[in-house]
Amino acid sequence: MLGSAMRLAVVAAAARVAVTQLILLKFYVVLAAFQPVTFLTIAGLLSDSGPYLRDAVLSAGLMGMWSTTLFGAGGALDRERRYGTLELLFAAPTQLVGPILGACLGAAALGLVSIVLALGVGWLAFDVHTPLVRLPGIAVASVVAVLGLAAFGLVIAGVFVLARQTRMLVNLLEYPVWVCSGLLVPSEALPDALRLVGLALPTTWALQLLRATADGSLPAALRAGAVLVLLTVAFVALGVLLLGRMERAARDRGDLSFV
Amino acid sequence: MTPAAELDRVTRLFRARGRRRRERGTLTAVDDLSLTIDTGEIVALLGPNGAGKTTTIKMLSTLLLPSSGAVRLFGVDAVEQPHRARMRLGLILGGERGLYDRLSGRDNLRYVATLYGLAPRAAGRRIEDVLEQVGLRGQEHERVERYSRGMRQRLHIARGLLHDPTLLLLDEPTIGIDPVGARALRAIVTRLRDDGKAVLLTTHYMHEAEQLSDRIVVLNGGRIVAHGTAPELARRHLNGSIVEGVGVGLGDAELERLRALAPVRSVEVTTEGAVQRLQVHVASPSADGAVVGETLANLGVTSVSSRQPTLEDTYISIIRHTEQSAHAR
Repeated sequence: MLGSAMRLAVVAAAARVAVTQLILLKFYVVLAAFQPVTFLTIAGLLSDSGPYLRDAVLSAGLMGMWSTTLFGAGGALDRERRYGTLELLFAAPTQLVGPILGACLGAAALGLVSIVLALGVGWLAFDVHTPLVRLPGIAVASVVAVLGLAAFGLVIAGVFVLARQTRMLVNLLEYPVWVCSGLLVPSEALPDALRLVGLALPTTWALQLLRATADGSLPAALRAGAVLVLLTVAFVALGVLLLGRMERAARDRGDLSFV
Repeated sequence: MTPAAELDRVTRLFRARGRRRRERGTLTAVDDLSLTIDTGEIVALLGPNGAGKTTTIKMLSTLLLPSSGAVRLFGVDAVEQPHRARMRLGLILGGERGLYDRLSGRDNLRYVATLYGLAPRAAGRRIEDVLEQVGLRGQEHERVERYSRGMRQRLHIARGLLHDPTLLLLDEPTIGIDPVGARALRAIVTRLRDDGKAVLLTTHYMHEAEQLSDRIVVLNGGRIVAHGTAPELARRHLNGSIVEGVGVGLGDAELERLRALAPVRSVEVTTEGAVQRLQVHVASPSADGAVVGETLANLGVTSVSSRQPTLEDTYISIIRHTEQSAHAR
């Protein structure tokens, strides 16, 4: 077994590998860049209200981040399987959670491109100005959002270890999370049941955190940030537990190399 | 001395999944298998497709749990402590897959070094060493997707050697590689044995098993059906000689006449168009061989020659014999 420093090194190395691989995929560029800009453009053309557009900018950025995380986390295992490297990850002396968490972090980090692009397009095309003084806060909030989404991606990856139809599951999860988190339509417009589901999603709190940071409301930002950090810790714990169980189940079933 | 690897009465069952009830059931991939591999030896695992070779490798590499029995690597229980057992284990799979195509060869190795807990400086040194060993120096910065099959296989080996494992599991390492590349890989494997590593190798190439291994284990139906050195196997399972010849138009009656001869153990006929190539296993090579030669001449068989059985002859004989015994049961 590896020590704590080496485990962190594994996570960092896996994140680097994930980013190197993902940026070469055209599909991924579309997810990270084209898709949020498209949604933002539609929102901008539908309304010219200032607060609505500011929310649309942040939502579009987070939608991109969620898509890159989801496809990166789910697709990571699918790619490892296709490349035949999943067995080799299992055969390494490190626990599977390290490389998979790294892959999720790398995928979520690419979502930062979506946030930057959305802020840029919002400013250039729709006159949504973010005060310069708030940008460092938004940067920190975005990093906290990356951690939260990566942790959630870890749970999804854990479920995908033994799933054969990962691509289908990935496709199924993209829009519901957008909807329940209030990214596609405001949370206030959602039925209570969906709003409750949204409370358990990191994207909901990431949106609130970004919104509060952009507004310069420190108490609201701290509250949303604290919930997001708690959710992150909970999802990491769940992901570790799930991946540990799935690892054992995969060894039991011999179900690693199917493609 | 503790063996490098030990399988003790290991059985592995798989649940067959099917839509219909008759398609479901339990398949026995490995059946009550016991095997040890010591340091400084190469053991070749042979067997037809589905014999249980890959399942055995997967259980030894901790990827698969046995249904029953014990798997120990250097005395460590590989079922209960897989991460500890993996530190001294190198797994090298043959074929195109198992590498990150979009990364360079060096980046692949750097990632694996991290997975095996090598500190950056030590990893750098080891990467240089293994690149030198497998002859990939100078090409390590290219993306793997541009590598030839032989280069990919050499990178597989480099990856497997990176953390300096004491036990190496090689699953068909030379599959699909050109003869020059395959010879280079065999030289590497021999050098590893000379360095005191334990090597378990699966292959379909008999000459490779004969050339490399200190011991051969033949699996069929998940069980060990023969083991020993190549000469030992030949002595036990195919003593005598092989008489070969070319015939035309030989019917069942003529072949039965040949099979009925006392020294003849088996007759294999391969038909190529109008030509029949005969391989006759003669139990005793001396005077009895002459009787067979005379009979073949009387049947109009030409180009008759006699030779010692190869490992391939022995292997085929073992597999045929076990399959016939299984059918008889």
